[in-house]
Amino acid sequence: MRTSRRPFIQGALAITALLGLPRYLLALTWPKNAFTSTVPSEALVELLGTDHSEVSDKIELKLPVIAENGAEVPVTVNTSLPGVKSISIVVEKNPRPLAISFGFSPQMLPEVACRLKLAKSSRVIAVVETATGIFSTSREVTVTIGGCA
Amino acid sequence: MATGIKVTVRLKGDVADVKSLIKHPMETGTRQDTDTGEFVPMHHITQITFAHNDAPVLLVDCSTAVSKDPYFRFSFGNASVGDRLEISWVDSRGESGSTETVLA
Repeated sequence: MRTSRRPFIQGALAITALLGLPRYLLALTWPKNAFTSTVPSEALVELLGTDHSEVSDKIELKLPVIAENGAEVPVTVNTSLPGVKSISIVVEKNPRPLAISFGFSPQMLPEVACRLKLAKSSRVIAVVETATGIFSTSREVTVTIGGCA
Repeated sequence: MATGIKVTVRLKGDVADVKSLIKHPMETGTRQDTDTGEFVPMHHITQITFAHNDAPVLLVDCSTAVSKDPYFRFSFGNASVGDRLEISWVDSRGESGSTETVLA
């Protein structure tokens, strides 16, 4: 079993904050293997150490039921789960399924919004890592015109 | 290349609502140039850091599936007037950009 990279990231965040180092040094921690993986479960193992998550109704994943333009699909994730450490979004049918991962400091309110590319109609999964475990929820999206992803 | 970052922050009590838009092509590497038929090389932001008074509040790891000109909306607490919010990004070519805004 792999260990989560998040404690490392949070350590790195703390260290760069302490030393006042340029933040771009953090790019060294970009999880390349997770983002280049072509299999959703493998990407999650690379990112979080496991692809197991508990389905939770305390996560809300907001995105259009039908996305006319797959190049710009607005996605919002919020949760009432306490102690959020990270929120990641997986687009199952994209060539590289892991789309984005947000690392949270305790100051963050548990909601993020962004815009993603969807290559075709797909299930979209929001994975929330908290102090007590890994939780997820998913939605199907129909894409009319695919966005090269 | 253009490194424009647009950011707006609205303070509600001690909560800062942030909206940001970073100008970047976010090329996937699989798009073909319509004139030459050649693939446009992959070029995308890999990481963005939002720091509040030098302490990172949000770290965003991006794939090529983040839309062109990445947009984010989020909120964080413990904010007050005069605080600084620094946004910095780095991409797959090692190019980078940053901006700093003062909360008002």
